[in-house]
Amino acid sequence: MESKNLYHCENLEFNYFSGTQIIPALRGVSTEVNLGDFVCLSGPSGSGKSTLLNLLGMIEPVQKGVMTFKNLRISELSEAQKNHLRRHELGFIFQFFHLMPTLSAYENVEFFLLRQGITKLEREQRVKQALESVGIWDFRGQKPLELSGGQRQRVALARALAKKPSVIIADEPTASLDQKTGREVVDILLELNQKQGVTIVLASHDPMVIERSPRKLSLRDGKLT
Amino acid sequence: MKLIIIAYKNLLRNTRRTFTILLTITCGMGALFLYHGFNSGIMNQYKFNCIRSRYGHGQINLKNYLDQTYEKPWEHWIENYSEVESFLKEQPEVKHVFPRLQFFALLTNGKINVSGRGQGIDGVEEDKFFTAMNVEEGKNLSNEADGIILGKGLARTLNVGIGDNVTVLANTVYGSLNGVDLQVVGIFHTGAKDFDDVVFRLQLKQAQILLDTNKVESVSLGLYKDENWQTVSTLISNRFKNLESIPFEILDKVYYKHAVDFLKAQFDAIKMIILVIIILGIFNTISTAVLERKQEIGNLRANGESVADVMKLFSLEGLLMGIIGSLLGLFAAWLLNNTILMNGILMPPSPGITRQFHVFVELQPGYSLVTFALGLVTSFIATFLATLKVVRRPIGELLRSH
Repeated sequence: MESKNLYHCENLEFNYFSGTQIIPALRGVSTEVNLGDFVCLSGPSGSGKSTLLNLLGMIEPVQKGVMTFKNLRISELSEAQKNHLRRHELGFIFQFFHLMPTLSAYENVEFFLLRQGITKLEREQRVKQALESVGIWDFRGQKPLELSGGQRQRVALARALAKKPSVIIADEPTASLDQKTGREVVDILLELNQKQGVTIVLASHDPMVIERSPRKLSLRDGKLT
Repeated sequence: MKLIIIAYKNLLRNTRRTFTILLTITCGMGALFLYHGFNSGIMNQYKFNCIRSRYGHGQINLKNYLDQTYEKPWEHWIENYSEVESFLKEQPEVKHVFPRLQFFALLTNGKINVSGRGQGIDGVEEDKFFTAMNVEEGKNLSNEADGIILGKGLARTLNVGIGDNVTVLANTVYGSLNGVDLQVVGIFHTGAKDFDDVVFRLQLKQAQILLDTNKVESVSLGLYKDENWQTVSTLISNRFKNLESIPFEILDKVYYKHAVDFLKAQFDAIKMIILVIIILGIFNTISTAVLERKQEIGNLRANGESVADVMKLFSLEGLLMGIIGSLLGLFAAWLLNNTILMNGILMPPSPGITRQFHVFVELQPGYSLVTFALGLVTSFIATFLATLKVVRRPIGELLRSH
């Protein structure tokens, strides 16, 4: 039987280095994330929520402590293995969307599928499904600059979703959006989590997002409170 | 293929950035191509001037004649000139044949005697081909059977002008004194005072009468094409075993060959400086452009693209910009050459030449490939190195950068 455990973090510590200065960001964080969870990392600026999210997304190295993903110890993985996991198991949503402006919404979603080597037919199915699930199929031919902020974030969400990842990592997904659009994005995330069982870990300091998240992890000065 | 399309679309994404890079490559490669064409133009014009100043494309003598000094040089002149002339005129590569002989003589106007160096030439043929003589008064020697042209210094010493008579006295090849009466038709200067003070020219026939010989000392050639010299030279060697043919660049080594080598070294040095400036310019522009895209690189890396994948995408962009920029540069150079530069560039007199001359930029098709490849490789390497520097940074740092 497949384990429900997705992430296991034990005494994670992380420091940033600025010249000779050491800036601690995480101080002994231990937690677990299971498949199907919807976790919101919250806390004030500099609390370490984005750092923890980056560690979970394998875009920062594990400096101290233990972190496993599907029972794989991250610190023991090669760069190629981590690339593979990021490509196939993780989907990312960023505050500033990071869409490719020259590609249409459809092509943006398709881009990483293409890089995964997925067949054309399956790509078409996945892109359609992903764009429909975030309600933006009708805008598939538009380029990011022709879309509103909320629509762009939906495209970013569809892009993450289309990869069929084990988890979606979202860093301040509503920070660049107005309250109404932000709420709509959270609605979609909750729906994906509840109906499709997509695991979601997000970092936010938006009270609306924190309040609506089923599971909350609050950080302060690099520690879980 | 899809990656190429994405790379192409990326170029259209930030028009200011792409325009700056393309402008740098276009200007750089265009300038390099034009400069090479300008160098070629100068070299070819200088070669043209040298060929048309004295020796033609080359000169025929008896073997080893130029290596030695003889007490009786006429014993080592070409005896069977008519046979040589017939053979040369049969060759399709040969346009002009210039038989010549030189001798020392005494010139007199009845009152003043001056020694000088005479050159017996075929006036009609030489007048059509050679351009170095600057005729100050009268005209160049052409078909005037008893005409003589004098160097400026020589004419001044003799105190003669156009239409005056001059008697030329010389020893025949048999040792007796002989003389011919000639009429001054022109006074020239070449810029070389030692030449202008002693040299005079008369028709070959008159010189042969004066020296009592039907030999010629040398035969210079004017060809239809510069590159035909080797063919003609080989034909002469095969036909006349006692003759040797020497190209003008050897005969005129001090002026032409050394000047060309000197200029070439200078041009190469300048070309290197231009090249370094262009390459640094391209590197700088592309590096700045790549640095502006750190977040994009971070996003690609976060989504599982390896360092090699990102390098491939960005290098493709660099390659495309190199192709487009280099082609635009070549086109810009061609356009400039056919508009602003179509009348050439006026240059001051070159070594050994007394007149200004126009240099035409001669764009070399072969060098367009070199220029194209250079633009391509520079753009590619610049993009590759700039991307490599960025892509190896931690993904988190890339995503945080602005």
